[in-house]
Amino acid sequence: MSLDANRIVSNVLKVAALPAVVMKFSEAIKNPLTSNQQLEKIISEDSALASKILMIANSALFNFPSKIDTIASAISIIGHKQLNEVILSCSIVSIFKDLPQDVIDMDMFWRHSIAVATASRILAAQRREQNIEKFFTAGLLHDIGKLIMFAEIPKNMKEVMERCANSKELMHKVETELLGFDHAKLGAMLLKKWKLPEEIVAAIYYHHIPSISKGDVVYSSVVHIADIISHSLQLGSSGELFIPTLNEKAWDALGLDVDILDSVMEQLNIQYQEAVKYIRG
Amino acid sequence: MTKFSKGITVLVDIFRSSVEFFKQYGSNMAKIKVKQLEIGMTITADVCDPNGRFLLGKGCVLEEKHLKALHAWGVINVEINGDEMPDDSLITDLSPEVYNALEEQVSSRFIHNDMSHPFIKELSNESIRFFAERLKE
Repeated sequence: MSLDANRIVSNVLKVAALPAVVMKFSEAIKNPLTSNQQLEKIISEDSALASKILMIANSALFNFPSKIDTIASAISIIGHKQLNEVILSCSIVSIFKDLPQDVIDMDMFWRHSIAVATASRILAAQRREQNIEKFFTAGLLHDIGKLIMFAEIPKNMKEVMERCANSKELMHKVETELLGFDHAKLGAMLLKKWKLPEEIVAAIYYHHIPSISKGDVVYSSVVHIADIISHSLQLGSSGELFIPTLNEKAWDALGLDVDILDSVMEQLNIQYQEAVKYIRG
Repeated sequence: MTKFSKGITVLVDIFRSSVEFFKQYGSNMAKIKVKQLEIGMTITADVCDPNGRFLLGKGCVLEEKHLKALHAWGVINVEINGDEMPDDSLITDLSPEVYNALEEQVSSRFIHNDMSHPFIKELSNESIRFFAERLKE
């Protein structure tokens, strides 16, 4: 049986919209004349978001030496582009937080997403990438398609999971076989509709096989490796029972040494606990 | 003694001492993580920071200040004499049954991967260590 991926995405778009603050903020930072005061005003209109940003800014994720107690200082210390990613991450989690789910444990699902987000950010920092928060966002959203499928087509997903448990296959392969598309494709479709940056959409689309991407492979490769690391440490669960197959070209593309792995894992273990507290909270 | 035979003796001496040197260091080098280093261990290969800056020379016997420098410059691992390699207490403290069960559990989740790939190999080893540490707690 083949389902229509487009219909699933448009069903989700009807109920889930990005909060106005996300659009306002990302529009505002595109204009070089925007002042920090204007940005402060945009964030302060959403008081829940403002307090969350302060909590995250003061967490071990950023590890600043002194306390950041105003939105104004958060804006100047974290930086516009990075803060934009933090706002996007927080908003998307809150949209999907209350999606009813019977097939999967939502807490475990977000834990896995947050682990991949944190690991992506750490790997990006190892590569000295400029905006590591963007990698965090990409990691956080990598399985968003799965979340939609669990909500929209729970019966089919139950079938996918049962078959994987019996045959020891990987979920994305069984999804494609039974449904005609997988969660990577569906997630990318939704994020494209939401007009998220192209590199994030591509990172989600290719996160299982970065080497088939025609464009930049760094984002998808970082998320791919972060996903494998998070699965191997069993931080949270996306319903996948096995560690996804390594795309060797993706590992090579990052140009990292295997010896960094234990320090990456150590940082991941610390930052993951913090990120779970603040992003989910 | 002619100049020639003197020259030969010198060469033989150099050869002997280099054989000695390799016996001492070369044949038995082991890579170790900086956090496992202890004062008094001997470095058996030059150490550079991640940007290639020279930090410590081969043969250096580690002191407190060297350890601090290695940490500060973000060095991940160095080569030492294998005889000085400390036991991995995290793994050796586990009973063989527990260790085997842990290893089996980890490798059963890696069935879709090539275990000989350096990244996967390191990842599965580090995962075993990660879970061993949790068990200990």
